[in-house]
Amino acid sequence: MDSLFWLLSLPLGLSVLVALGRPVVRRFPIPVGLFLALSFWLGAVLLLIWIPTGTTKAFSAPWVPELVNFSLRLDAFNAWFGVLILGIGGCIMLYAATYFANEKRLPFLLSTLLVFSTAMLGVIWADDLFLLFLFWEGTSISSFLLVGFSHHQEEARAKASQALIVTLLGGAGMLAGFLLLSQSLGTSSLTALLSLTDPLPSSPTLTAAILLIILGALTKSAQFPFHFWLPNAMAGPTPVSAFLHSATMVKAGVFLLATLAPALSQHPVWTPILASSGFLTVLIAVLRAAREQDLKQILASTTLAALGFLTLLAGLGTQAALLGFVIFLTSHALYKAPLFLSAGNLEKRFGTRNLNQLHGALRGRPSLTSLAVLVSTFSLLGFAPLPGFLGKEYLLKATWAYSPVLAILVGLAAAGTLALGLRILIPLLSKTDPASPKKAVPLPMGLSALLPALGALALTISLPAANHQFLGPAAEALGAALEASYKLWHGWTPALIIGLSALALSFGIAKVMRLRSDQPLPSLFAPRLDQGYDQGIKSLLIGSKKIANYLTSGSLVWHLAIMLLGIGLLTAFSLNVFSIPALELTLTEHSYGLLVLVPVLILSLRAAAVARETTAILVSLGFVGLLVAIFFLWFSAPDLALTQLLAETLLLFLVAVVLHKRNDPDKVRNPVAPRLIMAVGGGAVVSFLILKAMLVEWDPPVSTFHLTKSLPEAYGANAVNVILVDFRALDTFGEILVLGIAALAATSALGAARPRHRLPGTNSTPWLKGGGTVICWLLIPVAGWIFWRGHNAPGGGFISALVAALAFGLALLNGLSISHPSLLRRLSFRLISGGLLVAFLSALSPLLVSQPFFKGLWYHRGDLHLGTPLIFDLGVFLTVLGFTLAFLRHFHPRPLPS
Amino acid sequence: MELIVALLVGFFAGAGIYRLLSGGKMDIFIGLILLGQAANLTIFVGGGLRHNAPALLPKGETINPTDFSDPVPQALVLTAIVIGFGILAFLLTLLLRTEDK
Repeated sequence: MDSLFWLLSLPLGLSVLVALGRPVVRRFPIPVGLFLALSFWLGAVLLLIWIPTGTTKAFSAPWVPELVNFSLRLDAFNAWFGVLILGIGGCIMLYAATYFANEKRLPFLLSTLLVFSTAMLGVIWADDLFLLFLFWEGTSISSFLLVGFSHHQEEARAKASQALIVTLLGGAGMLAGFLLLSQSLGTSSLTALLSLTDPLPSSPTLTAAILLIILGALTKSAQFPFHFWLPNAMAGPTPVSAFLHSATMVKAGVFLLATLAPALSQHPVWTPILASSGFLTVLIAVLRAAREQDLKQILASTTLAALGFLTLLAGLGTQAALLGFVIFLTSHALYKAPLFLSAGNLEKRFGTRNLNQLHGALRGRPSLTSLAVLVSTFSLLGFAPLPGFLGKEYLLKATWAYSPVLAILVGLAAAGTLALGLRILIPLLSKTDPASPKKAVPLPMGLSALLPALGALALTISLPAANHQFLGPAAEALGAALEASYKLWHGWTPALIIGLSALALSFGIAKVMRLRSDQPLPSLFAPRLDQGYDQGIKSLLIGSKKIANYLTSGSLVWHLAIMLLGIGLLTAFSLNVFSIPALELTLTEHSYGLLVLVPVLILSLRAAAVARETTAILVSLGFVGLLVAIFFLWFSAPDLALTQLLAETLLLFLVAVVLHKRNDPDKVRNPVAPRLIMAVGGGAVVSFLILKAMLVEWDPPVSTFHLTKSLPEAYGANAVNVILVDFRALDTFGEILVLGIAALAATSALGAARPRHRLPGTNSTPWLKGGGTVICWLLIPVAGWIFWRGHNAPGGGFISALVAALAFGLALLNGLSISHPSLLRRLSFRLISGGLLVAFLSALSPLLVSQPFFKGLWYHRGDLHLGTPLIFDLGVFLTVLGFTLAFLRHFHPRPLPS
Repeated sequence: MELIVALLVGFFAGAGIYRLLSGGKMDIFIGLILLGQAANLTIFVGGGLRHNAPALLPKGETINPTDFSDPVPQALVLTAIVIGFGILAFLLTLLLRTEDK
């Protein structure tokens, strides 16, 4: 129940802690790492205790009704996987803290690793398909940040973005697949999908869904043909590679495939695609690593191969295959993580990762690292009784049960991967040309490298008990047979024979690899897909540049014209411009106001469209604004009329200053005819749009609710204001947020040290000076009154803020001390942030009394109603005022005192 | 009446486009002012026009929604006006910056 949610958010909470306590992390890296590791291990132990109880847990909270539920599920399999993630994750935390103990950005690395851990746990525990997708993308993004940790190196950036782009493309496809799947299923719940008794009926939709989901899983787990990003992702730091690219992130894809396999594996496309992709990936991985000398790259190739085998098992989807899946997953995680970490240790100790220079690195004094490497490599090679042996055995058993030919092929491929293991082990043990240690490895790093290997040993020793308590229930939960278990000895089965011969063959292959190690690979095996990706990205960029050059060709007006043309054509065609609505020309008595308004407006518009001189522009724009306000008033929108008047005045104030500064009007004039055609066309489209919109009748309209409920439930007679601050307050909050952002952007665009723009000498006349000051001081209480009456009469936060801003503008003209620029600057930012905070708090306050977010809380006293919407309106007032001041402060009438 | 208003707002938009494509930086700005107002008017007019029926509800009487003009487009346009003003002011500061160079 709730405990599942808290366990999921544990890493996220730790991440916030690390981010807030950065100085502490930098001063005491190793204790912090130990603390994080212990928290992770605590979580793992809690899960371990829970698994044998044999129950399943579920957690569900509604999120977007009828679309997405925040639901989590816990059964034995994903709890066991969670144990692996948390257990290995703890080792990684300790390792990373020690490895980067002197790095300034260690807190960033640790918090991103923690965010990643939450996302990974979310992937495996999510019960809703879309929630799974969200966490999936969360792992992609956090892994991008982690792989590109050394972001000052171009190579790291390029490789990180390659991984990101490939996995994001796959993720997008997977989302489409999930959508189609939930359509066929009727729900997006994974539990519902897995508890279907009959398989889903085959249909093109289902096929498409499965193909897209497979695409997502293949990109995430780096299977053919998307395998090229995984070796490149080794550009990240060693702890990152150890966590992401061996134990967790890349396993997300095969995890999804295995989870969906019981439900979907009967579908004809499932097995062929996955089996062939997995198998080809193993072959490619072996061939790639044949010539590699970098230890991390060889390990990456063995990870690729292991993922290939896991994909193959998920593709088979039989009960035996799922049984093998669980043990192979476990054993791989338990031997790969220590190998990666030990590679980091060896690099620290001997200063290199190149195998040629690491001869005999394991000889000499036994150390934690050498023990970890030995145990893990023997597990990789499949020596009994280590878990790797079990993994290999059950893999071969499952494939033999499916088809003997397949088992032999898999055995050959396995021989290749075992040869890679030998390629690592033999140079490290050889006596010729020994490497000399340079530095000592800190104890925590050695310890954290050893711990997963110790876990593998513990699993080996306690196999009967572990079988019964953890592994068996996990396999059963995934879909293997009831009461599944793992045995070491089955007799001389074909699987055992193939396994032993694969081991023998691998010695031969390793010898061949070593003899041929200085010859280049035949060109057949060149990394073409990697180059193909690079080429694709490059041509995409060149193509876009060419299109942009062609379309814009340097002239802004040309660019605008093309945009307008595009929008106009799109609107015209979507409006079905060829069906002209029935037009009536009815004149009621209300139209007589229009008969005056329309001609004046047309004349002013024409003047505004062609005016050249400053005065003409200002007068015509002012007239247009005034007439629009009268238009609003005539058609029953008093609030709009007020807002229009005030906004227009402020805008023209700013325009006037700019126009006054400009000495020479632009000489260039575009030809009239095309402009006229575009103008007429645009006007026609807009008229059509309006006529069509007027014909649409909603029955009943939304406003019925607002009009009938505004007075009784929201205590406001001004329905427009009530909609803004109560019914649709969330929209308004977004809008004042936009205003805050615009003010910030304008400040950074103009900068603080720019010279102020002088207003023309305006404070000379005594009328303006005396009268202006009086009006200025009068406007403030007027603004307050308009604010107060807004809930029941025309007025409100927006209008009163604009009135107050006008007061400041007048103060500016008169050079009053309140309009000093630095004062305005401080004031404007305090107002904006204060206003946003007030608005947000008024929205949060209902949560304190268990009411929904943004619900209005009211206090009544007779006829007086005070409530949180009024506080929200105050927040709006402050923000809009601050926003306007942020622009006004750039205009000042006299030079600043030095 | 609706036809006249529709043609009027269309003319508004046309005037704005005409100015927008005239070629100077200030012309673009003035054209955007006019286009912005035309857009606000489009939303407002598209919701239906009534004369002398503001959305101010009388206390005490039962409310018949058909007696009042539609408040929802009015609320949308109100914020649109303020944000339009904000965006235009921001554009003006950008224009100022290019002027100074």
